[in-house]
Amino acid sequence: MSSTQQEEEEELLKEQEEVPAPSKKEPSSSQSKQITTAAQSTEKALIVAEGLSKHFTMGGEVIKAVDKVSFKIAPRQFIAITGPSGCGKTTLMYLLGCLEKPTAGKLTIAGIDVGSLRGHKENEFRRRKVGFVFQSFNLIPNLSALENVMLAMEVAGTHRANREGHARDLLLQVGLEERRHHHRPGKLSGGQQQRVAIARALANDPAVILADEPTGNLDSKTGRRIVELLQQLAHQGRTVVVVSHDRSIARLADRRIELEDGRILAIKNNSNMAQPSTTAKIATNKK
Amino acid sequence: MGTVKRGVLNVLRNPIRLVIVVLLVGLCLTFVAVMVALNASVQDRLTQLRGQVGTGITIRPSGSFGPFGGSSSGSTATLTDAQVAQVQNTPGIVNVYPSVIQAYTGTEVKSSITQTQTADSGGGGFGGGRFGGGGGRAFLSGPIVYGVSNGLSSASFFTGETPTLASGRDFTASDDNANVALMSEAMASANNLKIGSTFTLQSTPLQLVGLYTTGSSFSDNSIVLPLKTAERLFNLSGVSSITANATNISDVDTVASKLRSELGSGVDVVTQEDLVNNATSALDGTQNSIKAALIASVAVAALVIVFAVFLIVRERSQEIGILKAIGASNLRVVSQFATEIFTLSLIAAVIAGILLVVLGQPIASIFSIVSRGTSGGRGAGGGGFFAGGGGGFFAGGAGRFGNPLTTSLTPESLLVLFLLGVALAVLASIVPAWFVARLKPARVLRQAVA
Repeated sequence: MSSTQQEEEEELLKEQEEVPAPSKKEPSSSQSKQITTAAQSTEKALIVAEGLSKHFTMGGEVIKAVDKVSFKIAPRQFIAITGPSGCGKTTLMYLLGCLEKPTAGKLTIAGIDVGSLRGHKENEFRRRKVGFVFQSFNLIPNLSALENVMLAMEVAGTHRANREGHARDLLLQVGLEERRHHHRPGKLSGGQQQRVAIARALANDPAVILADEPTGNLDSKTGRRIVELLQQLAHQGRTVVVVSHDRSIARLADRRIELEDGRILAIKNNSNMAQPSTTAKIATNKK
Repeated sequence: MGTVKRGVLNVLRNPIRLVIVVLLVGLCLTFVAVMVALNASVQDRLTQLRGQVGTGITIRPSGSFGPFGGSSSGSTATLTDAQVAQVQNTPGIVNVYPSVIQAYTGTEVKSSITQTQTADSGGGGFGGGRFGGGGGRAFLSGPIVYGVSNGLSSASFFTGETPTLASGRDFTASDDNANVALMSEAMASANNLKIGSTFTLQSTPLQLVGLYTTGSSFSDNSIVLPLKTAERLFNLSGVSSITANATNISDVDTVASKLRSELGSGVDVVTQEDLVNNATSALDGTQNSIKAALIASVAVAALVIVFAVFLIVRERSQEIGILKAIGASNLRVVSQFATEIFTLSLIAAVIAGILLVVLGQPIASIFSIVSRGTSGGRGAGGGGFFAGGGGGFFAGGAGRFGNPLTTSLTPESLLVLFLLGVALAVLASIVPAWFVARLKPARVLRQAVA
């Protein structure tokens, strides 16, 4: 991407961010829930969903994967979305990551109306505002760990000279030893691959990390370490939304959104609200 | 690692597929390059031949078409003086050149060509048509004697070449029926003769007054005599053929029709256009085959590369989904695949260049009508490609048809290969462009989990 084009896109996103935050009016749906706590009442919500729905049509039947859900998430929170298989967790996460378009309702992230994004604005949102971590890691198999992280920076237009050093820092900070940096995903363990995926998600310093069953393919010990890493990211200032069946993740989250049949069953606050981190801070993306 | 570098390296991800695809596409491109070269070669020859269509009309005794009419040893059928006069008096005719053509089978003069030359130079092409409709002689190596009415310039060699006086003098009016002769330099050399020497033909001593060249070993194997001298030496009561010219090319068909009706069924009247059409029909057929093969080669190359790209894109749909999920634009993803496709195509084009050097000529020989002729298969024993159409009109007829069609790694072939490689890459790039534009990252990422 040319620097001019990049500047234009950043300007467009900036303009969107300056749009006044959505009204705090309660959604009309009886299913909607408002998450407000003492900690966040003084802060502007980072993610606001209002009557958000996503319906699919399969064989003439309308499937309501996400049905009129409303919630607000403040910055620097570790949120778990839980529920049985097929309840719409992943669809909700894809809506948050702009990988799906809502059928109805409104979703605002960092002041950007995500549902209205199209084309290069949509790409720019995915590059800079969110980072994805997937259950099956989804690393590019013929690229090394380092190259996988650098790829995300390349896509975002980070200057070539700044990519490698920053990627190395990120990999070290997520706990991947330097001698593994040039290994391809096939030569890494599941836990190591997920660390690379987390480093890739952090490559462009997004405000929101979206993780879909990040421990699903890992043993319990490795999974716990990955969850701790995600928790650490939240404590350092990012909003982390994790979709998981894993009860231990739900317990570690600041709050959890329980879904059933595409609707919010409950929103529960945990006692372990964000505390100042005592661990090394994850580096931000300096271009 | 940039998009281009990643695209190039991606080509190596599956070495077995890489080898299969580049070999298949390379082979197809080789065929395409060969067919393009052959098509151009055939087109050149057709243009040359068609460019020779003029106002000429040849009149010969019926059934004798081919330079020696009826039998390789020489036909006794001749055109009478009255018929010559009839042609001269036909409206629309501007000049008339009666001539005698005889194959010399005696031993008084040696041929200027050897058996080897005969075989190598397309001797098979002389079958039937050239040396008489019924004879079926494969070829003659003996010299051909021409009797001409108006000096060397009126000599109508059956091979089409125009003789050029190299030394000595041409015939003059006083040479009519004199014992003088012109001979090719090659013939003179083969018989140790020079200008002023005397040699014997049909038991008659003849003085060599001039030497000529023709540019063809077959045409060089000839002796030219004054018309009356030739008739006398071979005991002919008339001429073998009459070459007449119409006033202009648009009158040729009308004049030829008139001659047919006036001279009756005992005489064949053939225009240059008839002869050219006869001769070019084989080339037309060859050209059509070449064009069909060309289209098939392009189609197969396109199918192979499009199918290969389709497979590549399908199996890497998850990768496309990931790239889109991390914010890569469609253009960026397509660029990466386009680089891969261009790399594949270029490797295939290089392979094609190598294959062209190795296989070009064998493939060309499949389409080369003359390479069969040289072995005598087509020409011998009647029919032949130019059966009955020899006539002597074609400048270089046998000579040109005698040269095999060739292909080689020329700058033009390389350009064709390169352009085809690029065109195929552009065509094949439509597949990833279409696929990437339609692909929903959420769908493939869900499938990856499933």
